[in-house]
Amino acid sequence: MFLMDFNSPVDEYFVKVVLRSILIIVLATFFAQLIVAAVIAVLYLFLTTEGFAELKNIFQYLDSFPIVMLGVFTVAIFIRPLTFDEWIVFLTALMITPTMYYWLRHSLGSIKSLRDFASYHQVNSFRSAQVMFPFYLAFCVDYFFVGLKNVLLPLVFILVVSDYRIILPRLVEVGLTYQAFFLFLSLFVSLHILSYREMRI
Amino acid sequence: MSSPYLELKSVTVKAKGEVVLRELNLVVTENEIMTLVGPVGCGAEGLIRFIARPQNFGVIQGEVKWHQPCRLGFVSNQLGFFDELSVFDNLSLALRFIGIRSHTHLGEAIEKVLRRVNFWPEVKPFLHQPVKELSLFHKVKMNLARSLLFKPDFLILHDPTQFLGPIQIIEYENIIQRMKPKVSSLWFTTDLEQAARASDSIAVMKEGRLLEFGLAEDIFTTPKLLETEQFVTRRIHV
Repeated sequence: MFLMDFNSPVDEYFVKVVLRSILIIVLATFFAQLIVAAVIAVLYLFLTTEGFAELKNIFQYLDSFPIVMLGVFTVAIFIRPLTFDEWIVFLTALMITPTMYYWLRHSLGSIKSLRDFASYHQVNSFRSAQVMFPFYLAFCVDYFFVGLKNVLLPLVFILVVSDYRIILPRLVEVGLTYQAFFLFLSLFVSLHILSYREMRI
Repeated sequence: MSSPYLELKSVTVKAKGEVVLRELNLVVTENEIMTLVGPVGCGAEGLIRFIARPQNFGVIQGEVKWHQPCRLGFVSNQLGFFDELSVFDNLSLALRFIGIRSHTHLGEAIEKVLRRVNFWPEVKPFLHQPVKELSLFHKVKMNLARSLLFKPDFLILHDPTQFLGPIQIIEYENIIQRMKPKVSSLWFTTDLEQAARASDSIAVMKEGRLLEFGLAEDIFTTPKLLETEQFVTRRIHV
C-alpha cells in the first residue's frame, strides 16, 4: 500500500505533509521530553520538601489530564476543523502524556525521598542532581517510545488500512473529519489506558 | 563500658519558628541500639532529623558533640525507590552519589550490603527486575541496604518497620542486632514492643523534652517517673 508513485499528487502530498508532520511530531515530542526532564532537574535542586508535597497535591488532578485534553480538542473540532499546527500540538501533547503522568504524578514522591536520602548522607544537592539527570533522560526516552506506540502507530495503522489515497485528499479539504477524529479518539484512549495498566501507574 | 559516641548537652533547637527540642541531654554510646519513644508530638522525630541534618534547625542553646568521627547512615520510613528501575539501578544511584561508577565496583558493593541485610539469596534472581515486583518487606530491606552502602558507623532509623508484619519486624530487628558490633543505632519507633525487644537503652520523650532515659529493662519494669510508667503501660493517649 505504501508503494508510492511520486508523480501522483497524493503521493507527493504523503511525502511532503504526512511524513513531515510525523517527523515534526517526533522531534517536538523529543524536545518536550527534554524540557520535562530539565524541569524535574530544576525542581530537584530548588524545591523544598514542603514545595514537593504541595506540587504533588496539585498534580493529583493530573489523573484526568489526558481526558481533559481530549475534551478540549473534541470541543474545538465541533467549532471548526483543526489546523495542521493544532493537530501537531494535539498529537505531541498526547505523546508526552505518559512522561508527564509518570514524572509529575507517580515519581515526584520518589524524587523527593531520594533527595532527602542524599541530603541525610551529606551528598551535595548538585552532585546528586548531576547523577539523577541521566536517569531522567533514560526515563524520558522510555516514555517517548510509549508515546510513539500510542500515537504514531494508530496513525500509521489508520493510513495503511484505510488507503491513504482516498482518505488524505479528504483530510486536505476539511482538516480531519469528525468520523476520523472519533476513530482516533477511541484508539488513543484505549491505547493510553492499556499502556497505563502495563506500566501500573 | 562502651565509650560515648554522640552527646547532646542541654540542647534547645527550633525549626520553622517553633521550638522542637527543649534542654535535651542525651548520650548515645558506641555499639548500642538506642530507641526513642514517646507520645505523638514528643519530638523524637525532630531529634533524629536534627542529628542527621542540623543545618535545617536553629540551635538556640546547648552543644552537640561527636566524640569520634563517624559516618552517618539514615534509614527513612519513606522508601523513595523508582519502581520502574531495577533493584541494581536503584541501589547503584546511591553509590553514584559518592562517585562510584565502575560496574564491577557497583556490583561488588551491592552484593556485599545485600548479604549484610540477609537479602542476597532472595533478591539475586530479581536484581535486574523492576523494584515494583518486590514485596514491601523486600523494599524495606533494600532501603536499609541502600543506607549501608555509605558504610555508616552510626545509623539513624526513622520507624522503618511501621508497615511490616510481626515476623518481618523481628527479622529486621535481628539484622540491626547483628550489625551492632560495628554500627551503633538510634532508632525512632512507634512500636513499644519493638523498643523493649530491640534496644539496649531507651529515651522516652514528651513535648520536645527528655522524660526519662535508661536501660530498656529499667524503663519498662521500674520507671522513675509516673508519666513514663503511664506511657509504657499505655495509660496515656499515644
